[in-house]
Amino acid sequence: MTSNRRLARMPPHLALTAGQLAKLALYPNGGIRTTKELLEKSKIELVENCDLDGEVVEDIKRKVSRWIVPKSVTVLSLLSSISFTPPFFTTCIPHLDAALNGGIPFSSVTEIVGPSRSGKTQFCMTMSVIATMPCEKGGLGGSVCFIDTEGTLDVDRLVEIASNRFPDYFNPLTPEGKSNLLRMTQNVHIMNAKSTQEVLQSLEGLQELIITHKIRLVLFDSVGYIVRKEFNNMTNEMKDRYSSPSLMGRSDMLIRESAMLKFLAESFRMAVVVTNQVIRYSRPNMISTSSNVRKRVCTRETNNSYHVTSVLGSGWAHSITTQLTLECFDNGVSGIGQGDATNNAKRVKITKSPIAPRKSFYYAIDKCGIVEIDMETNMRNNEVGSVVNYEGNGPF
Amino acid sequence: MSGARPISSLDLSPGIRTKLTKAGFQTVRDLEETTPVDLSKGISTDDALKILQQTKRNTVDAMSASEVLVRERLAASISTSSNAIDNMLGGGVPIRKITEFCGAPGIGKTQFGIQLSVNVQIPETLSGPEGEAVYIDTEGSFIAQRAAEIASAMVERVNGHQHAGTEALVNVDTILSKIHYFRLHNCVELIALVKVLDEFLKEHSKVKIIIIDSIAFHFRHGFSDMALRTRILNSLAQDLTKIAHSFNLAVVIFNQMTTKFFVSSDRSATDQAILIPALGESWAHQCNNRIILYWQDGIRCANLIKSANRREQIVTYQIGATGIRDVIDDASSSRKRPREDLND
Repeated sequence: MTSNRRLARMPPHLALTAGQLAKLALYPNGGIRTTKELLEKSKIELVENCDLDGEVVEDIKRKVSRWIVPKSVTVLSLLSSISFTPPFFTTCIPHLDAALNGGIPFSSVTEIVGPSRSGKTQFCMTMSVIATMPCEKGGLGGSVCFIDTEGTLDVDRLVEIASNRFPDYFNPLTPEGKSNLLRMTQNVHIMNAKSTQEVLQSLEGLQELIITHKIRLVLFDSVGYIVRKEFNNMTNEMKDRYSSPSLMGRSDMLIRESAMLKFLAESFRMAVVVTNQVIRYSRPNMISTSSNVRKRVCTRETNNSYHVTSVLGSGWAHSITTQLTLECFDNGVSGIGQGDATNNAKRVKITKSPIAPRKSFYYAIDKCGIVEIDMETNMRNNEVGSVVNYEGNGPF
Repeated sequence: MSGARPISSLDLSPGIRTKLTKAGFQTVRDLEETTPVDLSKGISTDDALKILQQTKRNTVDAMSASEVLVRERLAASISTSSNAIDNMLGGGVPIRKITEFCGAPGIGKTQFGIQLSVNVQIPETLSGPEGEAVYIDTEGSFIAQRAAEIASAMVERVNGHQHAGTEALVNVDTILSKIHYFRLHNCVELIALVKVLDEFLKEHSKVKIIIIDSIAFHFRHGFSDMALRTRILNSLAQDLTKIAHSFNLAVVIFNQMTTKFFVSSDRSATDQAILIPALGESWAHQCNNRIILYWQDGIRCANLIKSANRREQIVTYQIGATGIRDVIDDASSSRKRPREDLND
């Protein structure tokens, strides 16, 4: 991104001499013209191929490094610069916001994982409605970019959530409410991406869109769908060779995507939320082997235990900062009264966060989008059924 | 033996090297016999001096074991705030060594980083290192608010040791102002930073720990040439070792885990996948200590798997609002009970 610069552009106090540049350009296979090409070469390679002295090479490398290295800041100044802008955005669940120290953190990537019908897209839609509202109403006062790979975004549903959740602000019967609704729909920018190539392209073009439309929130629903479609050919021929280029290509692509999302989140100080599908696997069997690596035995069939993992493997999971896991309960298990809001009670758990403990919260989906359920009443109605499920397995 | 080193392995420019070979110089020993003036028959005296300095630089600089011992005794290790992990490492994260923590996402690697960057500032009166920290963030997972939270817990602990009425030893703001934070967006920036880190450390001579969170992130994408990746990683590790020695500081590196598949020859057998530290086998040689963090039955565990002086060991820890702490006995036993039930 910014650190792959042309050597010819170096500022006067660091600049290389014309002779040095000419010698570097003589490097075999195209020559050295950028900082990246230079720093990847070892000293001996440069001495050998460019006919430069060892000390000169050291000096060149040092100058180039000085040029591109970012400045350090102390954490104290980091903290004070953050406190001017609200660094969090609501998750639509007040208690979850409180546990996360304010909600979804800006400048980092948050992932929402969950099985189908757990409400991933509903979360995204509720958040986009809130984000378009002005700051004094609890929104972000900006636009939303919605990267839709599954084609599940429904604008009618957006309007429904808006007019039911905020009946005063988005009242379809008053002219003011109508114009607010219109503005809300205008401020949600939908990008359809049908292949990984398109996703990467739209991410590359996103910078312009973010600046022109004052985008404060990027939603990516869902990241797993496309890559699973394109790379998940692991049935027969690939079973023989797991380390096939396609699987490597997948993780390479994913980490590239996440590096770009992170870069955008940080440079524009905005919130980035991605959703992801889950696969179920049987309870991991931790066996310590002689070489002391942890062994996980994966079986292919799905299992009744509630052990799910996000689909894209550890490479992707490392690149997100906050992860929320959604779970739905089988209605048969929870066995609560029919027609009740708690009937479709679902649970959201903080599974990764640098600030929050691993806590769970209950929510439901209704005409207002995502709503929190009071856990107390839920537990009282439900003493027999879901106690087992309620026990979290984290240390908190 | 070093005298037999061929001229071609010195980093001389090809022009000069050809001249030397033409004059009959083949190995370093041949050069040792000459003086600059003698050598400068075909080349300038400046170049001749440079060549001879090169050969001299290749002599070995040894230090006796007792000297090393004294140095290591002097350096206070950096506590992780968990007694169990400190004991496992022999008092804390060692100075002048590279220590690597590997672990699955969400296990608390960044928490260790923040905790160490705060703990490095424990004052000398409490036998702490009383230094500053460099935090190199490649993933963007550092949260300043969390650092403030952990720092205020440390302040409370430290000042709790003080007698009433005396002035407080530390406060949160000074702690936070002594953590120098670098945010890097690609591996070129990382290479560049390590290159000029010695200049930064000369300006900030109190730095006692360098934390890289994480080394793996930028090296796991965009590298089609694996040999190139290995070479860059190795030279980074060598530079870091050099820095750790010459500035007397600890280097802590966080690494991610990657999945390795084992395909059984029998198709009906279950396929196995194991989680191993990323970046491959040759990287594993670069660190002096390696600790793997993982979950077992809802308890966080740390396993020392590589160390030159401590035995392999598994201990448990937990992460709370105040940072990294030991697992308290009765809490852990009550958590273990459901597991035993499961096994029955």
